[in-house]
Amino acid sequence: IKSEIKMDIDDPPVIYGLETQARALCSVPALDDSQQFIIGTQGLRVEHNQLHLLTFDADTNSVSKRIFDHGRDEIWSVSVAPHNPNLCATVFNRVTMDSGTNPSVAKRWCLWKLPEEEDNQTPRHRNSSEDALTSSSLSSVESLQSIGSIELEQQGEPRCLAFHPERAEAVLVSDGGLYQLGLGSGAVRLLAHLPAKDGRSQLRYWHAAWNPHHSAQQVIAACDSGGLRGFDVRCPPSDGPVVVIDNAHNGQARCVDYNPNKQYYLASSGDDGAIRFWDTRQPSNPVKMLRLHKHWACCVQFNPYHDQLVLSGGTDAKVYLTNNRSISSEPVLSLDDDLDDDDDDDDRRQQQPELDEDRTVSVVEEHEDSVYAAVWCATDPWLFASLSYDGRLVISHVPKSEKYRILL
Amino acid sequence: AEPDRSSRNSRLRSFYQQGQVESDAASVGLNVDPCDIDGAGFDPEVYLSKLLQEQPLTSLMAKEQQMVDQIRQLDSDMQTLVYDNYSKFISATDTIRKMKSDFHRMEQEMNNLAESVSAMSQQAADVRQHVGGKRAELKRLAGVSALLHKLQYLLDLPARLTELRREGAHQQAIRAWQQADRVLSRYADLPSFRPIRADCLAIMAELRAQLWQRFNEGGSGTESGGEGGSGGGAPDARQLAELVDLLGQLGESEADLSAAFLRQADPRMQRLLGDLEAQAGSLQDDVLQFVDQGCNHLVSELCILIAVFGDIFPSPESRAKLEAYHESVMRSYLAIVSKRFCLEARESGGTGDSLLVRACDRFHRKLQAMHRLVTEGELSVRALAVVCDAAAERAAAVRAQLDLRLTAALSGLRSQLATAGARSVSLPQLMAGLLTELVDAVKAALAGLQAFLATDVSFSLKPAFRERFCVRAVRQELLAGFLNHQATQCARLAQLSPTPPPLLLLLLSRYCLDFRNSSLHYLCTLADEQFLVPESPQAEALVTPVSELSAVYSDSAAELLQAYVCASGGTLAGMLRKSVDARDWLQGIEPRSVRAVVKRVVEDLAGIDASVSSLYDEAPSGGGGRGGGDRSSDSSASRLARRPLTAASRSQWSATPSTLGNSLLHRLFSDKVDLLGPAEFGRASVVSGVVRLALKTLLECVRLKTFGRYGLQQVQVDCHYLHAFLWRYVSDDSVVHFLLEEILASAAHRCIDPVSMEQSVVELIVERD
Repeated sequence: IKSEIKMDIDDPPVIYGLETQARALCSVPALDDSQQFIIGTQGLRVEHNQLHLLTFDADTNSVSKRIFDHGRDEIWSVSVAPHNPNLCATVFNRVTMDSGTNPSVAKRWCLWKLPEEEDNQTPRHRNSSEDALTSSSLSSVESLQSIGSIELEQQGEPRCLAFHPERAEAVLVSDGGLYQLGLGSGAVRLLAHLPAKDGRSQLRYWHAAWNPHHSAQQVIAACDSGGLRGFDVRCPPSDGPVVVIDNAHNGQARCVDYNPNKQYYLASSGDDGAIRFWDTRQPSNPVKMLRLHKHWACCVQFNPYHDQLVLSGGTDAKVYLTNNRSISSEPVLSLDDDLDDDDDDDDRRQQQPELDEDRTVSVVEEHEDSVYAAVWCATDPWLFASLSYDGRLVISHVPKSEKYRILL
Repeated sequence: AEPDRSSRNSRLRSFYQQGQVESDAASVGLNVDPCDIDGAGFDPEVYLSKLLQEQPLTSLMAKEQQMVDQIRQLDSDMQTLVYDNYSKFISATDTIRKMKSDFHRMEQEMNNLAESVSAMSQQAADVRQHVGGKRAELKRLAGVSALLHKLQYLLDLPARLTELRREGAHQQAIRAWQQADRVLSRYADLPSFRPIRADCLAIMAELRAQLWQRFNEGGSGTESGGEGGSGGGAPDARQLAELVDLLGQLGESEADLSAAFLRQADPRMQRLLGDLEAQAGSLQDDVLQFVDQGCNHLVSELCILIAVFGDIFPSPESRAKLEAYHESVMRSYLAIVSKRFCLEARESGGTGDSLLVRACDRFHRKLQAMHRLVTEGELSVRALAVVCDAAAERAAAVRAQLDLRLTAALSGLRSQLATAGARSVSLPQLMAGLLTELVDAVKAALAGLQAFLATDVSFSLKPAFRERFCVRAVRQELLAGFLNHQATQCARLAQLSPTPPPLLLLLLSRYCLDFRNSSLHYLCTLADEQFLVPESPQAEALVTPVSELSAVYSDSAAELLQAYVCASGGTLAGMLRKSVDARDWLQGIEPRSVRAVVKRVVEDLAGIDASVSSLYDEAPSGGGGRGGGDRSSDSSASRLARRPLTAASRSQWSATPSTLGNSLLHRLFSDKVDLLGPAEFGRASVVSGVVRLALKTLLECVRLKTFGRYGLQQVQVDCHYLHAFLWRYVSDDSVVHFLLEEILASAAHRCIDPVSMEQSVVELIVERD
């Protein structure tokens, strides 16, 4: 495993390379506000799959890492609890060879506790271009502490686990539906099961997100039919979904994310390559649509602080950072003018065409394979990371011009 | 005889007082030829000797004869002149004699005159003596007599006024009263005058009331003014003017009078306006009738009112009042007419054009005529504005019809494509049909609107109308607006979710392209010509340029094509995705054949290829023309043929995962392949876009699975099959190679037991299928 730093003059993205394929990426809400990401390797025939906890140092523009052993199980998804940066969950593939020749593969999930960092024994290893070659030999591999996993009825293949933004709860997304799990008091227990049924037809959920508003009582899931289904966890599962958006995407819906600052607004991405923004009160038509990706749009995420910034990654190996000011919680520059007649509005727009229009801010071109995950840093609104299938992690900055435009 | 002659000459000249000039000439002419017989400096000696020297005898003889004749002639002339003078002298003498006798008579008369004058002065002296002291007495008596006359007049005044009032001689009555009033008011404190004054005032009040009544009748009855005599009928304009004059003399202010006049006229106007307004809301009566009614009643009456008013109240203040009133009526009227016209423009079908135009024309003419009467307020400009609005509204209505037509055509096309199978309809035919239909519709719409520009229509040449109607309403809002709407409407289909049938997208993409190439410019030029759109910068600023529209069409076509690629590719991708998802790749038996879905994909691709090639040339249109003629003329069946298994192709590509390393190297050392770039307007580009989309999806699906040994081998077989059949459809073989390699490499990566099949076995299986 090697890492390298690529320097650009303007806004240098930092590239961190894995030797195996990778899909799993999550931002870590570190308590000391350090900028951390965690990535998991996906090596089917690799002896030691690993979780890499990477800490980005903005001063030196470099990355230091801690490595945790994940055994033979290839990691498909990783998530870190927002309320506890040491609590992490992985969804993984376990290959078992039963009776010699006939192998079987099973998707499983598990909760882990990341061991506390012991400063004196395992000093953080700083990587820079000089010692990149020696870094891998020096790094030591720590082991994870399993908190547990429970077998669930009709579980099917688990996809990912979405931690509750505030409580010690999570939702496991799997073929069998959504499983609301309680994580308190050191043990995992099933709180509710929302089966993936839509009338008679069976749905398969791919991804889910909690609604951060109203003390986070709702969760919305993206289905393989292209629809979105939102549930209120206070209602009994038999009540069915409270939000139904059918045909949100042509093909499978891959990702969904709630706007952290504007109630009822969410974004979804799917196999048609589109990013669609929805108001759950008017589910018949999207509020806005972006067609940037030329193939599947695998992930979409609002910036946790400035929700006009939206990050999306796709299998066309592109990561787009867009500014969707028109539908964000950010107030329009001069509200009075907008209330005037259209002519004035047009005039003003002509004067400041760049400031008010929605636009693509930047495109991460460093990837050469499909990008399955792109996330914002949980502690720094101007930093984001994207991971492509060939194991390349790119940590990029929001361009300074855009940053100042939003701040000033 | 010669000196004699010259002296005579000079004497004659001095008699006729012409000598001055001649003698001047003579004094100057010292060097004048002395041989000139008529000259002043004539010297007979020189002349004679010159003649004798120069002339032969015969000519001397002739000369002498000639001279003798001339001398004789001159002598007789002189005699005649002397006689003339003599007779004039005699007549002058007669005249003097006659004058002398006349003077004599005048002298006598003068003497008589002097005598008479002296007699008169004598008499005057006598009279002065006689009259003497009685002059003052006489003067006083004359004064008393005059005063008594006046008093008698005052005493008679009431009776006289009554009499005059009864006779209708208001003018005299008023004059009499006015004269008397001065005196009466001066001596109003004398008791004897008081009753007289009171009587007079009462009579005058009655008179005033009577006049007011007549006046009011007149104001409310202007329409029947012509027939009004002094009797029962209302007075005509002249009489009204008289009345006003009289009332004015009676001390009524002009402001009150004019206000009362207008107040009287108002109810009727309001009633007419109300009638019109009631009609304006419905299409029951035809618009021509509506205009006639408006013109004949309301406008005519207003004209009369204005004329009468102008006659009666010439002062500027009154004029302003009239203008305000006239303005308010006209504003209501114009609003009503505008409403009715717009309603007509909107609601009437295709047949309404000529009627509306005639109505507009009539209205415009009438108001123009009225404009001559009322120069203020720019009536004709406002009338034109109403007409402009109506015409623009009509254009908008036509535009709305066109929009409906487009929507209908598109939905018709959609259902046609849905009901008929993809193969049973000819796409180019459908497209040509659509093109003809819509172009004809636009042409018909433009032709219909030309009625507004007929030469006999009064407003058709007004620049304001041209600007508003031809340039803005027709050229920009109707034509450019519709063309833009059509392009965006087509492009909107590309963004619909769920997507419309792919064939529709394909068809419309080609349609947009063809429309841009063939019809866009034609229609714009046609409209420019038919509606005489000027080539001025102002007009150009108002009109969307053709180039911009052309760009919109290109964009729409590209967007639709891209949507088609996405939709068709998406269909294939969906099939592949489902098949990959549904299969258990881990378990399972050794592959014996290519999976059915892969064959199906290849077959569908043939269908897609057929559809695309029926509309698009091989190369991007406008490029190399029919460069790939042999390919595009292939039937789709021949494209189903597999790749010729030449040695070269075999060495280039083998369906084994051992190429994994190569693939990585390939990726390292080659430029980034733009896998999913935009499709160009050519068959190869479109179809290969579809292929790339399908293969890319297959790749992603494979990456989500875990494979057993035979699963991997099945992928191997499928990929080889695809490789054998896809080459014909793509423009760039290397991208397909790359994607197939990636699929194989990914499958190998996701395989827990990566043992690949022998290349020869793979080929065998593929060949057997």
